[in-house]
Amino acid sequence: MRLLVRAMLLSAAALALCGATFAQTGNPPLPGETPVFKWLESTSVGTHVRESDWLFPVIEAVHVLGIVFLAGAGTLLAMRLLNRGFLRHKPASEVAARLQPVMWWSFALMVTTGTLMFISEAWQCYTSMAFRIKLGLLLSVGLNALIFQLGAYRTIKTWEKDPVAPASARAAAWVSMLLWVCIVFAGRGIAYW
Amino acid sequence: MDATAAGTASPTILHILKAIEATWIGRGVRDSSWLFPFIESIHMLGIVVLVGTSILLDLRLLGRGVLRDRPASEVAARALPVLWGSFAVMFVTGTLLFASKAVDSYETNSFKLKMLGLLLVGVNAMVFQLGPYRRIAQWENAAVTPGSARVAAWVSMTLWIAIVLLGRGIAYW
Repeated sequence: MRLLVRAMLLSAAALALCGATFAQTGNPPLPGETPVFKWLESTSVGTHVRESDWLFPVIEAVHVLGIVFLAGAGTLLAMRLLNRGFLRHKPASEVAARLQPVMWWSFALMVTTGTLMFISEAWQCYTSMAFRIKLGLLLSVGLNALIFQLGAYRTIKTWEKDPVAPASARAAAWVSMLLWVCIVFAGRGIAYW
Repeated sequence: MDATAAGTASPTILHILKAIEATWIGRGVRDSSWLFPFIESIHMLGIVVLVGTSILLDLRLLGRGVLRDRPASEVAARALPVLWGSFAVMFVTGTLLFASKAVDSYETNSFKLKMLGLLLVGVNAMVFQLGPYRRIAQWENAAVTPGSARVAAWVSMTLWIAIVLLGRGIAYW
């Protein structure tokens, strides 16, 4: 039941973001819509990234490298919540505590590199279905983490040494891994769709 | 046509590369509108597993990381199957991507450097296996790991990061 509610909540969040502006892709832009993105592209940051030979590729490469740390740490934690993987013998709270800084720092890196790339081609990103879906998925993965933090994580000391973690923790783990996979696919799709 | 874009490839190699591109696999990936980015995404997910696991092992060889209280031999034993499995995925997806544009890849600097990086990471792993790894029982619980193991770890992490960056660079340089 909880899994169903969680799945619905997350799907709604993901769809809300893409759906809210879905009708506008392919339609003529609303008044005032285009100037925002054109302005972003015209900033010195946006212009430099876009017109440089090497800046965008380097930023993009760092962004891909960041996936290793962000999705990697996320997967390690998710696997621990499923009592599998390299860290299954460690208390879950310790695993979470050690991986959280890695996840926060790499997330900051992803947001920074992602924003720089976005500014350089704001209109293209905005009108890309893959980009919108990716943002919706990122929102969902954040919500999933929040639900876990406010839920099972609060009582982690009571269940961290159990052979099987609570159902909501395991649901959070599966949803997280699934979302990361989809985010990677969506990210690659931005150049095409 | 391709004659002017041939660049550094010799006629024989060019012939082989074109033959690769002409296989049904090469054609299938190249002609499809979605197959290339799809395979590329799987390749990227493979990076997370392969490079991520490698970093976990490398950190352990530096006496650091979330696994530092486990014996090094145990970490290595758990990591190795994952490394081999994910490497297989990388090899298959990479070959599919290569087959679709063999000539261009061969003439791209980033691709050549990336292949060199992969070769070096393999050599580094071999050197580690034949060296410090043989005596792992002696140092696996030590607070400080042997110098040769630490060198192997740093070389590995540096090379993997370079390989990932170069991989993305293939599209540009």
